[in-house]
Amino acid sequence: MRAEWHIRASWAAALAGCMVAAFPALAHHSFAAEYDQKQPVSFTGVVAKLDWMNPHVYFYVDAQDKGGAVMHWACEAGNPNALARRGWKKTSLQAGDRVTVEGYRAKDGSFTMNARSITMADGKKVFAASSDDGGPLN
Amino acid sequence: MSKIRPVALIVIALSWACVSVFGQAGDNAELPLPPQAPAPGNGIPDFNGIWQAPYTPDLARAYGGPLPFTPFGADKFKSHLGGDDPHGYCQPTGPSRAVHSPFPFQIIQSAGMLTVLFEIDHTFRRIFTDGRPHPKDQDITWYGDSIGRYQGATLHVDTTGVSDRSWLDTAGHQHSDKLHITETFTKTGPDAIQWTVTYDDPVYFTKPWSVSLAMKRQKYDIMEMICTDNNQDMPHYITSKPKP
Repeated sequence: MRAEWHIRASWAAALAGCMVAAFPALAHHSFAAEYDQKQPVSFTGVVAKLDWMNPHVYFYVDAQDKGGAVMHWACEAGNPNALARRGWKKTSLQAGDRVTVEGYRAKDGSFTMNARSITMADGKKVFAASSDDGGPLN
Repeated sequence: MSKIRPVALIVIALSWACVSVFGQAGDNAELPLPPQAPAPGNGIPDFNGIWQAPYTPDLARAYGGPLPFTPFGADKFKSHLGGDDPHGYCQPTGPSRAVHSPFPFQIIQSAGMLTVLFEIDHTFRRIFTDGRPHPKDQDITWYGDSIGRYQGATLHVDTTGVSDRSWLDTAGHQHSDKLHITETFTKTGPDAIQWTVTYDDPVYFTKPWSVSLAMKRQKYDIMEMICTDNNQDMPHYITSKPKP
């Protein structure tokens, strides 16, 4: 019971934080170095893999385009250390999870994107990231 | 002592709850906490501990307007590509950018030296406080040479010999190897340091300019951050550099 409350409190703290503040996450490079503010992308698919690694968490999502072809998206999230300090864990998003991802595509046209919003099938948002990098706010 | 402790814990808990609400940190009971260091004594302010400054990716915003560029400096800034940022390739930050990165750092004071262990890139910086001058025929290095002297609650730091390969910030402000950095670290409270940094570089700037940031003591220990571990970004940068 107590453990459950703790988990809920962590979620609440993390969500409160992401509503109030723009979280820094892309110290490593500026948004404009890689991503295009004029190319917002959104898709729903299944997480194939999560790399909880520095300097950025990457997760890979298989999603179908309008024609039914499978797109393999590489999605950049925040920094794992910063995410851990906000209560997120590498188990917060796992292979097999169905997610809706919103963000911005890489300027080079590859299936690479900067994830600004990650929503689980039950509506919970995870890995609140990555602002104050010169890119659009969450 | 046992009567005080519950009250102290409540105060600490409440203060951290406030910090969480304002987005400075969440809570993760599984993360390690830093070791407790004794005060250095002898009238020297105690900077030991884990600290973090506000993440400042654009120094001009903290300065409050455009930097006082020389024509050369203005042209370099105007023409820069974000994808050329050396740190995007996991090259070192230089001595000051690591201080205002979004990562905490640990300060350790010892006889004649103050050491900063940066979480970002798992690197360190040493500031000699034993009275030595900068070396003669100084080599140009990524972090330069830092010497410091204590005066009351303040540590004054002087840094030269910083390689022009580093950038001052994520926004693309650059410098030459003529850069002269002066910093003051002033203990303004048990959990507060006011850090003021002044950049003097006649190649890039017409006059010295300063930024001042309030550092706060952090709850959690520093963690490992190896930038080269999974730098997936490199092939996608819009850059003038050759593709890796």
